Amino acid sequence: MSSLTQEEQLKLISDLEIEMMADMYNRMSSACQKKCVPPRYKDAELNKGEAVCIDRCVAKYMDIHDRIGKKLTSISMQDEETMKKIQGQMPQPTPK
Amino acid sequence: MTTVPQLDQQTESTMKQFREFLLSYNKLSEMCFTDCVHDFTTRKVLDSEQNCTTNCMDKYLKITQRISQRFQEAQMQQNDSAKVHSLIS
Repeated sequence: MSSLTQEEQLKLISDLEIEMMADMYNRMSSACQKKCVPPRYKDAELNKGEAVCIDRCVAKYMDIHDRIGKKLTSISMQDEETMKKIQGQMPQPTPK
Repeated sequence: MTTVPQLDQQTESTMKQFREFLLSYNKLSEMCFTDCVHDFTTRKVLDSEQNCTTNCMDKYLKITQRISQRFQEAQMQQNDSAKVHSLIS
């Protein structure tokens, strides 16, 4: 990371964030469409039930996404800590 | 001067890894949501859905871990037999 300026680093991170948001959005769209709107197109209108279902589906999807994200973060932090502990316990190679 | 592209390469691979991780996070969310959430009469996540999601995630992690273990084993075996073959011929 040190070869990049702070600006470049931020750009990389924010590009990644945008890409992931877009990916999540696409997945959520297709999931909620599948769950809420049956593929029969007699009518071009979104009926009341479908509309409400979509609202709830989006809310729930983001809720679940957040929960999983929090759990994953805590797991990866735990992993990092145990890795550090193991590395600390390993005998340091003596320079010859 | 030669150290600069090397660092860039390292950054690139770290970013690539991080990107893969985030993509699998999105995939996991989608999968567990699709399989666990069926009730849209409320916008609150039900306890049963919450439970299912947690299990889904833990199981997914265990699955990927096991697959990668077995894959590594197979790869090592392949490498070993390739070495033996090259020794014989």
